[in-house]
Amino acid sequence: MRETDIELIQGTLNVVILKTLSWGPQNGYSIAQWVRQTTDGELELDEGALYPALHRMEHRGWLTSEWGLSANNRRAKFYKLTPVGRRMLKERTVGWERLVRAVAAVMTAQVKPA
Amino acid sequence: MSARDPLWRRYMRLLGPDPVADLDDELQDHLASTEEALVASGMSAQDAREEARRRFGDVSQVRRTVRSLDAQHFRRAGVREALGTVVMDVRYASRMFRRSPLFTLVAALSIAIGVAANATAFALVNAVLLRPLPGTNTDALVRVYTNHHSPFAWETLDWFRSRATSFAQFVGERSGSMAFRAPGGSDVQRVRSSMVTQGFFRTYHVPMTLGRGFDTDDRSTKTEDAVMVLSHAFWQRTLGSDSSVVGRSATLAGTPVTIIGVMAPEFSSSVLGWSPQVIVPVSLAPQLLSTRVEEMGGSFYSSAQLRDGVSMGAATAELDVLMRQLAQTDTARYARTTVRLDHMRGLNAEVRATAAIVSVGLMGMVGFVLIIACANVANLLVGRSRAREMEIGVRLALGATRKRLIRQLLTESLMLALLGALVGLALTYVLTRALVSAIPPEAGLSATFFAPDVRVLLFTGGLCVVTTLLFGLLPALRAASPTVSPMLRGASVAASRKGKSKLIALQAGLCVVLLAVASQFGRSMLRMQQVDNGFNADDVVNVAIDAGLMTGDNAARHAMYERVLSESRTISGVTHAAMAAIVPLTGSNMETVLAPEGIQAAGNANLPRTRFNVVSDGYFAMMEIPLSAGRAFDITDRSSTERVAVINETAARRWWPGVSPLGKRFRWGGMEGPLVMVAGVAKDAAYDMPGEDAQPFVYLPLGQEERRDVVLQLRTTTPLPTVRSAVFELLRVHAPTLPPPPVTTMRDDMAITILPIRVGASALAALGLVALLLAASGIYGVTAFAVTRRTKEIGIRTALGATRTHLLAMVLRESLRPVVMGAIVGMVLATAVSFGLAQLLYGIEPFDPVVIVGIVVTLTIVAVGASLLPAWRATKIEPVTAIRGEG
Repeated sequence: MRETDIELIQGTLNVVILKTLSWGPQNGYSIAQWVRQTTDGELELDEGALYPALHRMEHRGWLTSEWGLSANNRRAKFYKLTPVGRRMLKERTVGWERLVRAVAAVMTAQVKPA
Repeated sequence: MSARDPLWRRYMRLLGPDPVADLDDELQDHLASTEEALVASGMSAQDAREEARRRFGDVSQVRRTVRSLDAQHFRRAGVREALGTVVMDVRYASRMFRRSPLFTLVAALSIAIGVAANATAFALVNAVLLRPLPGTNTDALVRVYTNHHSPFAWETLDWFRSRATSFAQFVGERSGSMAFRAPGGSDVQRVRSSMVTQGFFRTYHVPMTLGRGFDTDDRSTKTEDAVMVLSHAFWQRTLGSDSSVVGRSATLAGTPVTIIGVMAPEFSSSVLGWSPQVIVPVSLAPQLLSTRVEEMGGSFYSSAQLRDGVSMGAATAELDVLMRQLAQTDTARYARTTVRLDHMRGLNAEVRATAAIVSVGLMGMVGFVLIIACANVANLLVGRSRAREMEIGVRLALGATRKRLIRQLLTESLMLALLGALVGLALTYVLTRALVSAIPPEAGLSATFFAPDVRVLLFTGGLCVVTTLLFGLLPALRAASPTVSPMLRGASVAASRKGKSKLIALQAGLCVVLLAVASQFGRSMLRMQQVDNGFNADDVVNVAIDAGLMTGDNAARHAMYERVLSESRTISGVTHAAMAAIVPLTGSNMETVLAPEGIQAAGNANLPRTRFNVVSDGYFAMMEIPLSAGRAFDITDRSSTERVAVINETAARRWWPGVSPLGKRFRWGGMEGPLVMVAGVAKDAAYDMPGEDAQPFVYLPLGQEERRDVVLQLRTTTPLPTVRSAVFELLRVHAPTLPPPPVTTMRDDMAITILPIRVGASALAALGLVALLLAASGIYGVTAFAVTRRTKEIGIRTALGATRTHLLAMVLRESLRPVVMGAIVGMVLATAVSFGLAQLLYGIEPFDPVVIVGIVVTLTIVAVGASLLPAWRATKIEPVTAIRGEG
């Protein structure tokens, strides 16, 4: 991982994955690909965190998986949002937006602390 | 899955998910995708490969992390799923039970009967053989026997306890009976008593309800040591739970003795089965028994408490050394004496072997009942699973696995077993209580003597599992095995008929064995009542007179005996009267050694032993025992005249073979004993058991012996109540200080010797009857089911012209075939069992072949009876409806 990479806060990874999957079933590789492309390479998902996160969310019932064939006829595991996962995404998005607004408010503040 | 994967792994997936391989595939897919993208952007294959791995980072680290996450998840999910299935199975099973209450009732009752019989029998075995002595809780307690299983004589007990260092305590208990008068009371009654040596209450930590125990020096002569402790039951029943009796003086054998405590109900004695009502220190022997402690003979049942850290082996070794030292002090007496230690569980070793044999037999018999009951339930289950073929077929078709189905069916069986066991356990509580009340109250058993404890509960739990497997496994396997399609088509499968008839044959066979053994006991009992005992017990009334309750010396007692005897001969209706120390065949006996003239023996231990009785003049005439030579006793045989004896023919033959024993002499009680002359020879009679082999027997005249108690025996046809009042009247005049004695018929007194056989016979008869009923219901069920299954076939036969008689015969023939086959095997088995029993149990004979034929006939009649209703129903089948429908 490069120095300039944006580090994903714990929990943010989950919401990113959920959001990515809201467009339709994907495997781990294409999730990482999509995030990189969408953020113009600013956000690089670390595989060492991506796969544990995927499995954990699957165990919790947020995701289901299905085996299919990837582009080159390889056996690939495709993840899909469950209704629970969809609800989680909605909740986390709201939470994320509030966090962003709050952090932005701090970052752009003009008054110094007392 | 990558192309490098072996082909077999693909097929392995059919058996279920393989998370480890799946993860490998998933990560492999990621790496390969990155690689391809790099190659597409112009990188060489080799570089792309390395770059892909580099970008991914540590693959094995990721693999490990995810793998452990997965493993944890599947573990939890597995447990959840298993629990879920159990709950589901249980729910499903209870729904099935509710849907068929009759089946559930019959099956559960069958199991309940089987379990109750087994748990009750085991509770008995537990109480008699396995359980530690009630009221004690230390492992350090051991029993000490001499000569394998005998009690100690006072002097040997004293010798060992004063020298052995392995024991913290070494105590003895001696049983007897005494006259008791409550504090301030006037009525005298006979009580069961125990004399115990110093340390008894400490050794057993005897729990007390009131007051304290005693720890009196065995040689104490102090008056304040004249104390006694009462049993809880005696204190309750006789003294009305009066707590003020503690500290007060009661009278025991005419001597004032202070009551110092009442034992708690859980403890009764150091010997299982003894229930003394009063316990006194051995130091009171001079006052209560008119003997010095040192002169008290055998029958101290001994036990000891091992010192901390001393093993039984070490203690035994010490006892062996001491025994050798003792033998050196008196070789003649102790050369062949041995000492040994034994655990403190169940009965004393003396009676344990018999109890163990009876226990094994009993457990075997109730085991048969259980198997018969299980066969019944198995039949019901098989029948029902046939009826459920459709349902099972559908479930198989819908993808239920075989394993899952078997588990579900076994859950049903286990629940049935549990239900049955619960009912059975309730029955067991009732039965064990009934068992205590069936035993004469003189035995003093507490109501909970046989009550199930933890061990019995565990045994019942085990039974539950065993029965489940016995009756549930076969039907479950069979139900889950058939292929789906024929069942869905509704075709019937005939294979089960064979298995069911095997079960019926098994039931019939075991039934025959049970009934045969029961009849063997019954016949032995009848024979014992009818056998010629060598005397005539009919029309004899026994009056047990305890002259120990009377003041005065031996001469005064004998004077009273003579007066009472001569007066009783004047009671109207009394043809003969005599007195005797003991009554034969009532469980009491006396035994000693004697040294006949001309027989040399090394030490008293090698002298011939003989049973004996002390009897008055007129005894042989009263008992109708003929004399074959010499004379009977006379009123003139007194302590002042020469000592004489009458011996039986076996004794005469054994001690003086080929010559007349009249005028011969023997030393009585040992080589130093007094000389006694044989004055007469009596015909042999039975003394211990009806029908026993003849054994030597010696009669001594009452006038030449000291007796504190005698039985007055009257030959009369007058009704018992009339005799009783006449005797009471007579005793009021001639022995006014004595309480009214028990007056009984000799037949009733003799019933005690055949009590074990009678109890065995009735228990076995009950078991046999239960087995027969279970088998009958099994035969009925199977036949009824077979008829239902074959409705169509029977309909066709009827349509083709089969007559009613023909159909009836067909159904009967098929239901009887397994019964007869089983009965034949049962006959062979029963023969073996009965010969074994005859070897093991005294007084039991191998059974009569006629009886077994009778049993087989009975069983066949029962089987015919059980099959008749379904067979009759078969003849009523309307061909048209039967063929059209499925029936």
